[in-house]
Amino acid sequence: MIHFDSIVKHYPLEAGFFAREEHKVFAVNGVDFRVEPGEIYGLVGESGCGKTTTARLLVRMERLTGGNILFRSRDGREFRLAGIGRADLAALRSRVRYVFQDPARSLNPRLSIREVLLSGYRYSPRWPGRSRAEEEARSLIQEVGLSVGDLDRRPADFSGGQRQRISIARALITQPEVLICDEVVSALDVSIQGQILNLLLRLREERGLTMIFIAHDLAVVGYVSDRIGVMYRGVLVEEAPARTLMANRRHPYTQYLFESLPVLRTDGESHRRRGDPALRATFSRRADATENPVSDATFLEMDEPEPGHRVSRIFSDAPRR
Amino acid sequence: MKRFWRVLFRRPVAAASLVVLVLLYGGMIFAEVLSPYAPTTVFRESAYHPPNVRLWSSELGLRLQIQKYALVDEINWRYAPIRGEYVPVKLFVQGPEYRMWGLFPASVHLFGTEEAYPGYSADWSAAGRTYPVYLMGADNLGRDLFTRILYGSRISLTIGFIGIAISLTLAIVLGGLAGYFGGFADWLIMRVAEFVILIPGLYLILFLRSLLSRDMDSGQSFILITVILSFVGWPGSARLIRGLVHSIKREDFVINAQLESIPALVIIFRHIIPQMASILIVSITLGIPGFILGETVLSYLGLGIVDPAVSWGSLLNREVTTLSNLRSFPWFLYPGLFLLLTTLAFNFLGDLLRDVLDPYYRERRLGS
Amino acid sequence: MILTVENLSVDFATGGGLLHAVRDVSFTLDAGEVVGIVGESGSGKSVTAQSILRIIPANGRIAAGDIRFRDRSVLALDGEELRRFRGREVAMIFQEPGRSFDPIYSIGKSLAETIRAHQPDLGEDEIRERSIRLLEEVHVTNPERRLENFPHQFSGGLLQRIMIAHALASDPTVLIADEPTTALDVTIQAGIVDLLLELRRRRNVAILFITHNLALISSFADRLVVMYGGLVMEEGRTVDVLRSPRHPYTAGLLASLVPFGAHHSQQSLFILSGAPPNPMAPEPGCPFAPRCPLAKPGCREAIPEIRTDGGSRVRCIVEGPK
Ligand SMILES: Nc1ncnc2c1ncn2[C@@H]1O[C@H](COP(=O)(O)OP(=O)(O)OP(=O)(O)O)[C@@H](O)[C@H]1O
Ligand SMILES: Nc1ncnc2c1ncn2[C@@H]1O[C@H](COP(=O)(O)OP(=O)(O)OP(=O)(O)O)[C@@H](O)[C@H]1O
Ligand code: SF4
Ligand SMILES: [Mg+2]
Ligand SMILES: [Mg+2]
Repeated sequence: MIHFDSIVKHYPLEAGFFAREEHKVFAVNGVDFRVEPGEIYGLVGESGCGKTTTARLLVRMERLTGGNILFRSRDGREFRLAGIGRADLAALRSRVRYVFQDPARSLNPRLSIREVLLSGYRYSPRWPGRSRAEEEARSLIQEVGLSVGDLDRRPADFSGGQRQRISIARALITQPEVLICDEVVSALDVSIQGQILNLLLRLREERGLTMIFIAHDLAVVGYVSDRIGVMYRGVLVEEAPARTLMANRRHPYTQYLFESLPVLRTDGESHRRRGDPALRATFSRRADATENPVSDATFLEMDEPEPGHRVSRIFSDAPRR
Repeated sequence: MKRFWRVLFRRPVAAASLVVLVLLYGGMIFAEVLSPYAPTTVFRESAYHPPNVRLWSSELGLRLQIQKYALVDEINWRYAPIRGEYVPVKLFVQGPEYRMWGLFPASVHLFGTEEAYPGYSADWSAAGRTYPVYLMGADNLGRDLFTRILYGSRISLTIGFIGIAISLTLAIVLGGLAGYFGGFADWLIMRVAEFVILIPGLYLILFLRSLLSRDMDSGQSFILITVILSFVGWPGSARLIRGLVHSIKREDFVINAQLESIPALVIIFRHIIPQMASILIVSITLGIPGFILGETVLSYLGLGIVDPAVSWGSLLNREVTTLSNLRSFPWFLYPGLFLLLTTLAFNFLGDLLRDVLDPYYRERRLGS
Repeated sequence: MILTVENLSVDFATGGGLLHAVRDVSFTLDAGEVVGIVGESGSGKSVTAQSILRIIPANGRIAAGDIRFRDRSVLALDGEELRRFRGREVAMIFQEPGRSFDPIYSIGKSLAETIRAHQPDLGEDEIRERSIRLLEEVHVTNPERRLENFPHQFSGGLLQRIMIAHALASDPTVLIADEPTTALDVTIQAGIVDLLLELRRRRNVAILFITHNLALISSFADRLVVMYGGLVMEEGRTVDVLRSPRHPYTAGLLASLVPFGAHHSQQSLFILSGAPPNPMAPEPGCPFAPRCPLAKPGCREAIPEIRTDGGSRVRCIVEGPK
């Protein structure tokens, strides 16, 4: 179980000795949600709304400005991200793995696939010894749909989709409980995306993985996720089970976001802008992240109009339909 | 590699440089066979003898041969050719004995003469007394300059590699740590580097050298020179490497390695530094001439290699003492010519490597 | 026809040998028409577009074919003529608007430079007036004030609009847009598409729109060109291609789209197995053969000829809708 407990992350806009405190980016402003074991939690929202930052805080690629993240692992161990110690962090990072968007950049181009898989594993608390690890690498590479011979090749020898499989294998080798998938299919061709989505769903079944799944493509997030959180300007504005959200969106921003999505039209009907002009006027203004949208903590409270469907009050004074 | 040959093919100067370097290093490795004598073989009667090898004469026709000279002015060591007297130069002749690479005894030399020489040398008994062949003239003891240049290259051509190895190791370690950790480590290392850069290199070299005793044997001098030169040479590369590490550090694959709890030192040296292999190769190639010249300067100033050991710098030091000396015996500049060739060749080759390894360099001729 | 691409082939010299990026590509663009090019990454879409403007990278070469603008061959243009063709007749906008601007110039300054390049005899005031009108045309609010701003003060969507304003400065007949919305949010994409359509209506400019996004292009292209492995696989009216695809790749691509509202608990995805072709080692014959559910031994022998099938042009030996 993961609990993002009112997390806040502000980046300084200026660096160095004379940096002024008040100049900062309000990337995440009090986001609060839970991810249950074995669940796929989708995060959507426009560019810059803080999805990546939220995910990175969980593996402490960034340090929390405020709030806390609680992770209770399957063996009952509890990790609190604020002020976590070195040993705990290593243990956490072998249980929670981050898969990057662009495998061409997240795989060291000079290492063979075998080295890619094992170089990090060696330092994980679960390292089983060289020969045992080698065996695991072999079975894992087949599990993600490549062959044992591929272990000796280099990342450049593979296509984008195959590289993403390698990335996933690399994450899986420490037998994690949680996989953070940040735009893992965004850089891939449509004809390859499905293969990777299926792989992730299969791995979730077989290994009981928990996933945080971030993507721009709402149809994709809607398809793979069990529950979805919608973010806007560093705030969680709506959260609901995927199927509920796909059918019934309550927050005006969610409505606006989903109505912008182009849909395949085979009727020859020429382009007609859908959506409510009033909504568009409210939300199409560039969300300026140097301006804190939250002036008062009560804004962060969420209503729960039906069980499991939470809607934030912030920005909800926009025209609602 | 294929790309290397293709680009090389289009760049005749770089190709020539490669040939020059292969020849020079070949000469260095096989100095014993290629040179007609030992670097210490003395012909007292022919001090300051001019080069005497020629390709053609009416008597012997077109073949490698020696023009005989007679000493005409014993005070100024002036020689004059003796009309009509030539000695054929033969290939693979027996000459002074030597040990190949200090191991196998042998006495075959690539070229030499078989005609008896009237004023033979006393310290050379075994292989007979034959007429000396001076491809590039002789020094004040009648020692063959060509031989001495070949043997001298053993120091001059290796000092670059050893020096760059030491200075680059320093640069990689210090630049890597500074770039990766940033903060105080970065500040400290970069200030030290700037300090070393600020001191004019030559004075630093002289200062360091003067701290140490003057009468060391050649082995010690050699080690000392390389260490001094490396110490002066690391800051430039360290700054370059620091900058690169600093930018590569933000790449996803490094962040990924950090998330895998790989120790920082392993990340720096196993994951980040190898990414710069091509830049390092170029900087090695372009850095070698600096060391060669550094050794020359030290030796020229009498602070480096001294007799009986030879390097190109010590040759220049010994022979090119006065201008009038140069005017009378211009062949004493041959070591300088070798130096120039080597330096230029490394530079052209470095340029070529930079272009070959630079992914953005395209062979322009194919463009439409 | 304004623009005709005929049997275009483009090769690149690479470290590993010759790479055939575009092979025998033909299509046409009529005045005021929108043609979409879709296809796998690396299928040669951008190289095709670059060939039209003759801006392919230096290691590339147009190996065969012709590109005709009105009745002249673009490949025969040179010097001044080529410059005029690039500036006045055909303009191009790119995927990442941020990279196309010089960060040290204000928007007004760079726009003025573009206008002056096309109309050297305009005065300062006229240029300013034209700049403002152009920004208004692409719906940038407060154009007078915005002229003073620098690129980093704009969002990606606004920069893309300004890039379109640059392209319009020369009043081109053809606009080539290479993935102009891919780097933008869904909420902003639609606005850019609206703008392009409005320009088409008002100025009758023809648009060649390159994209990965079938859903986006489906509602506004008149015709579609589907590329795979450097080849045109299918070309026809958008409705025909999307409603009854004649090529197995087009059909596979459409089926691979995750339908909006589908959920994994109820429905499994259509999977097109295999990987896109490696351009350095192309398959003999049809490049789609290793992934094609209908492949026959004959498919691997030679590249299928393109032929007409139900109003579309299709490069496949199997006839009929897929
Ligand atoms: N290291 C950083 N320093 C300063 N600001 C940052 C940093 N990382 C992110 N930001 C800012 O924080 C905000 C949130 O960024 P984040 O990357 O979390 O967004 P996102 O939702 O993942 O967007 P995208 O969909 O584009 O990936 C943005 O305004 C971004 O510019
Ligand atoms: N300068 C170049 N040198 C070598 N190969 C190149 C060069 N430019 C493009 N290519 C190759 O040509 C092929 C077609 O590239 P192109 O950019 O047209 O693809 P694309 O369809 O636009 O793909 P994407 O959707 O990813 O933009 C690719 O295989 C690419 O690797
Ligand atoms: S030619 Fe053959 S392999 Fe190619 S698409 Fe048609 S049926 Fe498939
Ligand atoms: Mg992100
Ligand atoms: Mg492209």
